[in-house]
Amino acid sequence: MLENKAQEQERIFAEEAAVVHAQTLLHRVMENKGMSRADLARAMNVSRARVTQIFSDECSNLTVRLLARALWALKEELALLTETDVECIRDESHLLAAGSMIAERNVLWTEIHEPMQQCAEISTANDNMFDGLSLARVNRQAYEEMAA
Amino acid sequence: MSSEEGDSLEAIECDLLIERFGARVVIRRMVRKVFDALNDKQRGRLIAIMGRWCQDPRLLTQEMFNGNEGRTPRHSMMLQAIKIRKVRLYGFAKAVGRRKTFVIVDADPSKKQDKADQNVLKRARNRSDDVIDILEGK
Repeated sequence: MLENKAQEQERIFAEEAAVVHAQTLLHRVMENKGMSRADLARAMNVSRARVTQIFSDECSNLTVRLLARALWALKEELALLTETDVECIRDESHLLAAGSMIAERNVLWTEIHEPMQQCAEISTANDNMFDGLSLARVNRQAYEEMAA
Repeated sequence: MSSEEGDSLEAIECDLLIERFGARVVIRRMVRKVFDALNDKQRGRLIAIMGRWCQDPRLLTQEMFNGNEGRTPRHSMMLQAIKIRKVRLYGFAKAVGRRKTFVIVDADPSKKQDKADQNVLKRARNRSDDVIDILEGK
């Protein structure tokens, strides 16, 4: 299929986004586990330079296989999702959270964003993306007291 | 984007590059042509890095982002850099129009070594202060 210029740019942007996503994912896992690049190189049984290559701009050999190997060395497993999958999961989480507000059993965390964002989102307690940000996390009891 | 946010960006003569997760990256028009002159791969990678910045700057690697390029002389704002190989986009993070925003004020597209060009750094710091003056109505 022949690409026009706009399509070619879109494709290149999508490829670069995927590479950045893979690199930041690996970086995040390493940070969470307190592992340096030297540690990762040892765990993967490769040179330090090889690990540096993984995080470089070019990284022309950052294959899915290599990424999986790096994550395995970090005792993690690669899970591949599309944006559509992510949106479905997010929608389901919101529905679940909304349902949980009424349910008696589940603990629900309400995250209030920084004042500049002015909106509150409901999410599950295990959402690591918000970990450490300037958010106030309150449990359901406190939320209900606030809402009253 | 609300009209208030649009007015804020217009006041500092900025274009929106990307917005995600309630945050955004904007670029001063005087710097825009430098960014647009980069090839697709370079711009693609920078936009992707900016997207991750919007999500959480801590996700970024040292190759992608430097959170400390020194403070600006008048407002003591921390200058930061979004990076790819041989290209640095300098700016600062601030709430603009009540939204977390990275404002790109300068670019060094011809970085030939790992160390930053001190002249560009100094210029970027001054430009940041000028933008903050506008934002704070000084």
